[in-house]
Amino acid sequence: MVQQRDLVERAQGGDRAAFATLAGDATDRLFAVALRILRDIELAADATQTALVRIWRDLRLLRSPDRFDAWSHRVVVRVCLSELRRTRRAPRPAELLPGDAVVGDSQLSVALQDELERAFRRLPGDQRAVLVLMYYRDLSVPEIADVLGVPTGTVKSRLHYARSAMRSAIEADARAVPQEGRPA
Amino acid sequence: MTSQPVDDILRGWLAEGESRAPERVARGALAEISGVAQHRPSFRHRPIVIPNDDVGTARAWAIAMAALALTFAVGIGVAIETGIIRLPLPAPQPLPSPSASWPTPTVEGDVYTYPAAGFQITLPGQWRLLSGDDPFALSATRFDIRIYVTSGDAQGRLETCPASTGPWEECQATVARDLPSLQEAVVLHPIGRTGGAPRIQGGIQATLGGEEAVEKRVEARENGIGPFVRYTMAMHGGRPYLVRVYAGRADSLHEAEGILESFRYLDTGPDPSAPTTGERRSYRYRSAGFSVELDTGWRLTSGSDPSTLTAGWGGLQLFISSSDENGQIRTCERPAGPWLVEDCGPFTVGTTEPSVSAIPGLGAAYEETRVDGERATIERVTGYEYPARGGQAISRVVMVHDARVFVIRVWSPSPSIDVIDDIARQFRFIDSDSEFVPSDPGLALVPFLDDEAGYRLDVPAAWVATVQPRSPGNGHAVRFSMPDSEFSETLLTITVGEPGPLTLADLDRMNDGAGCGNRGEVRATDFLGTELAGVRAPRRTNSCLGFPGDSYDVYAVHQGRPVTLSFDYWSFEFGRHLPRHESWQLVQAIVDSFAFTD
Repeated sequence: MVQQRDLVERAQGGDRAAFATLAGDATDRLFAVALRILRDIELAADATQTALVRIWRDLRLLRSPDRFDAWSHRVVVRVCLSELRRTRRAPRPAELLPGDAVVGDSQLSVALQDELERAFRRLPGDQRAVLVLMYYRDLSVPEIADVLGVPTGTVKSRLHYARSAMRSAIEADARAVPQEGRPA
Repeated sequence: MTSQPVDDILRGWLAEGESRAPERVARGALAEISGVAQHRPSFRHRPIVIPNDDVGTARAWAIAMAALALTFAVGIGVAIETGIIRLPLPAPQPLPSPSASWPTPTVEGDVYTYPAAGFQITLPGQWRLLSGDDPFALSATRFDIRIYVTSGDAQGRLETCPASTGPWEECQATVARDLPSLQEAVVLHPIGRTGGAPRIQGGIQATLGGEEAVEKRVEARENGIGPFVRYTMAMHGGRPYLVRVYAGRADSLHEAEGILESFRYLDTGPDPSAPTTGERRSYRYRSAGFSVELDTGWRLTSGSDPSTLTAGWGGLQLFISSSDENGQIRTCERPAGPWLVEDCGPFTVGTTEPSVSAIPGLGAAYEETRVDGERATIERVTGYEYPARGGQAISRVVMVHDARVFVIRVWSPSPSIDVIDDIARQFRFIDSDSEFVPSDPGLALVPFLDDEAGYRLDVPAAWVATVQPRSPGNGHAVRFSMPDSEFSETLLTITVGEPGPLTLADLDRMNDGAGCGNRGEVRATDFLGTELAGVRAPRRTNSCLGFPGDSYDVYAVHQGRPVTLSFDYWSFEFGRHLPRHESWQLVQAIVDSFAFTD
């Protein structure tokens, strides 16, 4: 942490080499979050790159270097939300299919993955972000509130709606399985 | 199968998938930041929030900050003079000093005018200005009303308030490029100072200076229902505007509404005195698929590059390009400088159904227009931060035609000089499939190869070539005519001179005389093969008696050898072989087919 603080302070002073080290450490972490929110590798890569540039640009606005991790998450989440708003206005012609890029070898059934994917894509961006930060980054509600810059109550309500939607998807999958298995 | 708890399923599902970023991400970001200056929090406003209820402390802070700022400014000045600090990437032209290009706010009666921030507002009565001479934000107070007006810079960066009035609002430096992100940037919390929850409303439709706006409101409910905070946000000219009103009582809020109605945007529209010489020269870039007529004040800087036209005129810089056969396009020669995050590409826009979405926007709202019949967008960005500070502007037109993307970009040292509309009006697309087929089959084009001189071109099948005898050292010439017809005069002479020191500019000067010995003027720039070429046409009206026999010349220099295609002007002008319009199409087809073979 001390080393990261030092790097942040040096980068705040315009040291690009220090920022390169910081970016090297943060890129995978930010990309993984972006990918899970956006569900598209290319979009996630672009969003991560944009976020890194914004982090550099606005680094001097960060008053406490110890909060770099949370702040960088906030930046990448905001970029992702902007990207989702943009792509909602101009939908991409090719929809990512489950199994294409995001999903790898899975312990979950393909049908359940489909349901989860569909349900997740229907969620508003801010609810997606809350789910990813909670279940992928394992952040607590106050930590998510800190990252997103919203009150904890807002996080809880977003989490409630997002979990409900995902639960419905899981239940839908559970109902569908016996029908699939029914003899013709 | 769903006996697992939902949390476990979500955790497992989200854990799947890639967690390593493609290599290009970090590499691209690091390359990009080389042209990006860091935002300085203290640049526009004090970074430290001064407690509202402690005037003495505030004054002490102000004095301390002023001393600090003075020390910092002197330090920077010394550092720059002694070369200790390296300034970020240079902009294309020498930059005006920041202070010289930031117009300071003015107050005339009750009218406060902020030219750099682009607004004007009327504050009736005795107001105390809190923001000093900050050219980008007005902060003022009167009784229990505080008003804060600001606008974003070229990147949409702004600060949402100078200091929060309570736990219900959060002042932050942010970036807003559209109304939703501006709304999102204003962060309000349902947290009261005394424990009660303030009432917060958002997404309220409003207007600001005639633009569609949204409002966010707080009723803190400390003294009955007040105090009140109201944020009114709008976008204008691609720039975010924000007005924040704090009012202690409901009556004060009504007074503030009157102030909001007085808000006006200040636009710097095109300057009618934009430079002009009154004369134009046409530039034909066939392989890039466009032609354009430019004022003769422009000086071409792109040389013989057939894919891109760049030109300069005083401080103005022009860039015109189109996507290549690989579907790639560059949008500028070099980025504007640290005041604007601009990427020149190349961007892949595709070839079959090209899309302009791969080209990053400049962060400004775009206008829709038409260029040579095609739909096009115009973006205009003015520099509002160092080193531009209202002293630089970029205008860009993007359009698609015939499966290609075209970009016209003008960099201007002054936002008041905007010539891009005029250039767009003079822009024409050249279709790649517009092969010329003459109405007379005898004039159908066939290839002609001159091995000795090292070129090939297409000429009408009925034309006969004769090698012109020349004395040694005088180069090589071929004449084309139709000996079996009534038009036996020479229709085209191609001359290739000996290698020497001549340049295209020399040929331009030689051809651009106004006297009787040189009855023509250079009217156009074209290409002969890969070489940039000048085009000289006879004056339509002249006082000389030298007609007929004048010529329409296309000339270039290739490997030091001057090459001229000299068409008999009168034969083509009066359409003696073909209808007149076809005659000139034939000339153009011959020129377009010309290629050097070495």
